Amino acid sequence: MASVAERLQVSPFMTFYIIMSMQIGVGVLGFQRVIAQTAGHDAWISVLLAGASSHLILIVLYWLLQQADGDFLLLHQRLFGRWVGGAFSLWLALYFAAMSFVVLRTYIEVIQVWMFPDLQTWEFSLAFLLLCLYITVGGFRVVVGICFFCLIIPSYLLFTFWFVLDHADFHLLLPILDHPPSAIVKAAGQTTLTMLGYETILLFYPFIKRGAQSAKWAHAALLATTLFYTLLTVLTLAYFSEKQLQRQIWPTLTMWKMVELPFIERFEYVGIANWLLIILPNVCLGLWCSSRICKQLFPIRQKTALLIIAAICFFSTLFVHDRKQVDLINTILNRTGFYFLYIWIPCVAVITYIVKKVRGNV
Amino acid sequence: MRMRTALLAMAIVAILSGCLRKEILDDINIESAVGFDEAGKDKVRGTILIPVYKKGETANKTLTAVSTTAKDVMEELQYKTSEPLVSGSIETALYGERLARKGIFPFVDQLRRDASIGTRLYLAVVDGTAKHLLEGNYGRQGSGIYLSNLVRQNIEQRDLPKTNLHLFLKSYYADGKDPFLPYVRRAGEDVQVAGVALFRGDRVVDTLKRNDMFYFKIAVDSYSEGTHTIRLANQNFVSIKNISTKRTISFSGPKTRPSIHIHIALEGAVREYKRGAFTFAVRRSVEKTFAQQIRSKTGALLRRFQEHQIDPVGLGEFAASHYRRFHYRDFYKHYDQLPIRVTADVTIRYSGIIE
Repeated sequence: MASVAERLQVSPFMTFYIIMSMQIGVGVLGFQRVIAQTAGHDAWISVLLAGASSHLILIVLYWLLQQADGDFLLLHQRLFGRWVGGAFSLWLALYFAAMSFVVLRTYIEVIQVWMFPDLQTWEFSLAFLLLCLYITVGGFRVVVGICFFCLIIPSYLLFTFWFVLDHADFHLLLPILDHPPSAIVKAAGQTTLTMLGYETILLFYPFIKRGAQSAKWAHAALLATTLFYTLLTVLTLAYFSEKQLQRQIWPTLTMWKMVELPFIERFEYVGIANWLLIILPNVCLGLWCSSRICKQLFPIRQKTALLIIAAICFFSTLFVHDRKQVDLINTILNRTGFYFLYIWIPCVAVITYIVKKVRGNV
Repeated sequence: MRMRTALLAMAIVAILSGCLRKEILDDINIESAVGFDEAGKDKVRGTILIPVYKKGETANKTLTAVSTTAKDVMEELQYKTSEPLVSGSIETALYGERLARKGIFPFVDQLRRDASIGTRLYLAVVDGTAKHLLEGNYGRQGSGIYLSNLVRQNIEQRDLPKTNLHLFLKSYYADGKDPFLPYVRRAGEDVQVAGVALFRGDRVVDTLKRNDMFYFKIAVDSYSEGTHTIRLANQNFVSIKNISTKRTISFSGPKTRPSIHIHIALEGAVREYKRGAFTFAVRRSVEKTFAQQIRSKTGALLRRFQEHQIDPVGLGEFAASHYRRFHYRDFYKHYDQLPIRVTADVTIRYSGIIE
């Protein structure tokens, strides 16, 4: 490792902001409905379970990074050879690019349904991707800066849920554990989807000064996200009755419809506009990770890779037209992310462990 | 290179922002209230209220159209205006009683589906027709604001339980609860809250009179402020203010046929006492009489709900949070025979600034 110059690196505690801003994305606007469908009013327990499982996976991720001197792609190569390992890495690059594209397209749908029905997808997509390119071309440190500000600035939105408390019936959450454990675990599986984002550590780890020290900050980020999701789930379950919740595509936005401030009639417009800041680091870091892999795999400059990936993302957004398709791309991405973290990563860990035992080093 | 990208991005953002449809306040009609009535077989009459802002005061304009579905009515109305109608600031939706007895859900659905309409919107059932009510001129700020203030004031200070579009839908979709809405009536150049309309599903099945509303509110919601007058013996009366209540619902017995116990703890202060000094003994007797009245009146209301097979309190929902593996169907099968016991505990804290 040590291939990254110190002037390009960031402090370990920035890991907190990177991971948390990456985890919180468009999923927050609507994940409650899906998990409540499976686990009913016990869904908040599933969120806690999912949080706990992501901590375990994160431990594995850090262990793997240490085995390969901080370079996950190198680990792929050493374990599977140049070509097969490279193919796996390329697949990872595709995954991150798809992440940017899916987040962007889902957000555009929200704008089209809630604010501007006659907004053309390509208009917003182009403008937004140009902004993201501008940020990512500036390098990793600029992306981290965006992560930091885009987590801090919209954090005031947390206070808006105070208005919801007035209409929350917490007895709807009782009796606790009224659903079979299998349903709760299944809903936990569905929750992991909104927790995705921390796997980016595999790529940006070399850019952290004294990388090993960042582990505690990464765990802190996971914990904060889990608590935030749990709080939001509890509020949602108390705010809606069960069948009413099943009819909301974006429960979080519907909850904002209750906010009433003297100077603003429809708060959800402010919320949606602010959500742009929340998805900005999602898209930027997705693009950055994807282009970073391309740079390591192929003899091209990262900027060239960025341009190509952004162009692919742009054209992809044009092919998604309605709610059903948006739902589909989200499902595909989430499944991929789930299999990557909960199947692929443990497999790689086991293989690494065996290889280490046999060869003595990886 | 970086500079050029930045300039290009900024230019595009600036140019694109002009592409969307604008809504300038002077060029649109802002609906402030809507009303729906039955108009013959399978027809609906829709009425919308539009404030017309003049110097110093607000005049009201109403538009009416008849059609078969809620959405059609709105389209019919568009033909009648020179400026586009905008629904973003509707604050009240009214339903004529005859329509409400047949079901209002299709007309509520339209409101909740619209992303521009808030869920704080008030719904109400009108004694008579919504059209007649909306055609009146109330208040100086315009009838729309008058109507929403009327409902809000009655929720915050008087005997109307908390209600709005969100709560209506929440109860409508809940398996263990039935919705209710304020029941309003036009009286000359005023509108008054005449009671509460009780629903089964989306149909009105019963209406409560104004003097039942106090006992209704303490059963379904909690009191935080308000005044209530009770009659004592010898034509004496006492008026209690700053009432705050806390309701506890407990269950015992099997989950298909539970015994239900509703306990109401009430605290208040004396505002007016007709005769004599408000001594400790008088206070005790007032507390006792008040508790007795809550027991009998609230108990009678709950029996009435059982007879109508409706559950505006949400007893089913409370039972579901009390019992594990609860089934609503079994609970409501015997609902009208369930023993419901009401007890009350009244505490008078202050007697004003007079001994």
